[in-house]
Amino acid sequence: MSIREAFTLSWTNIRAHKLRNALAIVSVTIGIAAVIAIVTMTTGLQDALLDTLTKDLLRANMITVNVEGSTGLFGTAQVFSSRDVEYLRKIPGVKTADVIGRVRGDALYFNNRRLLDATTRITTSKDLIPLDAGRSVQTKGEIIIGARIAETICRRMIAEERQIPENDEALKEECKSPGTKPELTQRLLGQSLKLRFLGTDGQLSEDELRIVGIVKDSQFIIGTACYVGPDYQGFTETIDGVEVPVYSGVIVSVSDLGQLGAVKKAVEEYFNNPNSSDARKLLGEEKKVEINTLEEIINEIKKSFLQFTAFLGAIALVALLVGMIGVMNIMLITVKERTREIGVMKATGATRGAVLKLFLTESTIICVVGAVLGVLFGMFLSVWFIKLTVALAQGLREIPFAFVPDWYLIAVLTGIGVGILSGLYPAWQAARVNPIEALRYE
Amino acid sequence: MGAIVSAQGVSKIYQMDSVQVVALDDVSFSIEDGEFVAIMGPSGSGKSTLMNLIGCLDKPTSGTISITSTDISRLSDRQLARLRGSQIGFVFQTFNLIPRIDALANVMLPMTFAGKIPPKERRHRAQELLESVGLGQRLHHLPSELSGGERQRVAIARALANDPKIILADEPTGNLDTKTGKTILDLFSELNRQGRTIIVVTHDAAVASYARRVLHLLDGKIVGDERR
Repeated sequence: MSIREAFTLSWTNIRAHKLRNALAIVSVTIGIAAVIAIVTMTTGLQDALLDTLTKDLLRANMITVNVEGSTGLFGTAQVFSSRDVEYLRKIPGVKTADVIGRVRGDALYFNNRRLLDATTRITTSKDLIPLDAGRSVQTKGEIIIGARIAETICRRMIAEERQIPENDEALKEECKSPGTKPELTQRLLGQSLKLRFLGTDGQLSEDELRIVGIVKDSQFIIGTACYVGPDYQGFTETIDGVEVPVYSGVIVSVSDLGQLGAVKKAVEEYFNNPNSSDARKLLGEEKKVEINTLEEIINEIKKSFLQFTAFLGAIALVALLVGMIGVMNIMLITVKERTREIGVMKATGATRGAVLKLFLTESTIICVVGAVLGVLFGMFLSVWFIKLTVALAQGLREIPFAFVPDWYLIAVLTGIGVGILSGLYPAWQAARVNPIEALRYE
Repeated sequence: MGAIVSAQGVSKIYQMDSVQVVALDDVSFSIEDGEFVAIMGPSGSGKSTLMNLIGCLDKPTSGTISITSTDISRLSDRQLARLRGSQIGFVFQTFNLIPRIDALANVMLPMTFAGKIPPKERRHRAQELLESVGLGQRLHHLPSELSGGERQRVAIARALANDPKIILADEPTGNLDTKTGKTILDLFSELNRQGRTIIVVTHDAAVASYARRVLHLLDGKIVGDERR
């Protein structure tokens, strides 16, 4: 009996019990759909994160330096001194070395009212922070503001003009992502903010800052952070009797990608040597300095996502297992019901192999149809999952829908596997039916 | 004409719990190619057991039984199935058609299992067989849409699918009225005239009267071999 003949016959049998087999198909569909939905969602999240990271934040020629345990580029420990930065700049092959730090005792005001959420950070990089509008900070007295802060300022200005409350829903909507709306951008750029901060001398200072840019509105870029130049740096440490300014992270970029490895090695040597870097002197043995290239960061993220996906996938597999048991159950009933038919088939020349093939084909068809529907349903489900997750998780605003063709193939292959597995025992039962008893079976 | 079925000292003993049931007791006989034989006997006489052995559904406990010169006690399960598929056509009392597929597909089924007839010719052959039993107009009817006599004729067409040497019928008219039963038996006679060996197991003397030889079984032994 050829596969095609087995298929035709099995298909006829499946159609004869539409409801029962439809339920078996649904049980497989749910399992496969759960897996596909989870993979689609985590892949979407990963893609979105990597997209922000690679397109907006980091470039392949960059090496990030920060203290172990810090989130992203903005660590809390300020240990990298200006002397460290000077040293890094002199390593052969290094194009630039920029710092990232925090403003000490920062408070930001608009129209003499504090912007409560705002944090002010320092960066010397001209292109590290992606912008929706305007330009980066070039001199003292300039600031770029985060998307959330831009929204707050926008709301305050318009609410005052129209004499409406600041928490007006329509107003909130109007002021969303102002960096992408030219009429709002025009009004925001050039506005002045007041920054109060502690200088290196520990004295409270004040400065008027002009808004020159608005940070890109993206779910993976903190919307409350504003950036100024190094003039407002206030954190210092005394190392070897000298007081030096310190920062939370350094970004080194190389002029030639080919030199990335060599430069990274030199940076590592510098920070691992207990006597050479100020950072090492401050950290002692307590914490490590993490030195990563974009590629390593991407790999790290992918690894974490894979673990996450595997964990959720394992849960979804339980659903698939339940489906498999469902199919096995249906097949056992089918074999029992068709005992007499099996006897007839054997009497008319069917070998054990032919009977086995027939029932295996039947369970495989059920599972493959279930898997294909599961892929489609999973894609549909993931759209809802995404909406639900975004609604529940703060800070997440969108997860793009990701096509995961590899997984579609895996799902269908799994369907075949599950079909064979769940059909194996019932088919074996069918194959060993004694034709004489089967012909007498009522 | 040589022996198509040959039994030598065949016994079949069933073990039922602690009791041994002797279903066939040292039976010897042979059936020549082209014969029309009825196997008769009351229930419990062993005729079903003998039919199972001739039909290669079972093996004897002792003795040898050869079908078309092949000793079946030495065959594997798979070889037995092959032999059944190619040499024996079963006709049952309850027709035993597959209910979900039409008459044509039922007749094609043994061809599918045997693989003797090329796939392209199967449909054509099945159609011819159904036409030969007078069901040319019923090819695409499901068994449930056919009368008892028509179902049995589909079963006969199915039995002929792989052009077997032997047609083995178990009470073929048991579920039919007398008139319909007669047409079925006439069909067997016709097939026999065409040279096919017909073996009918029955307890009905009217059925046996169509045969040219009657084997009488009682308590697992052949008690009479009557030729007409």
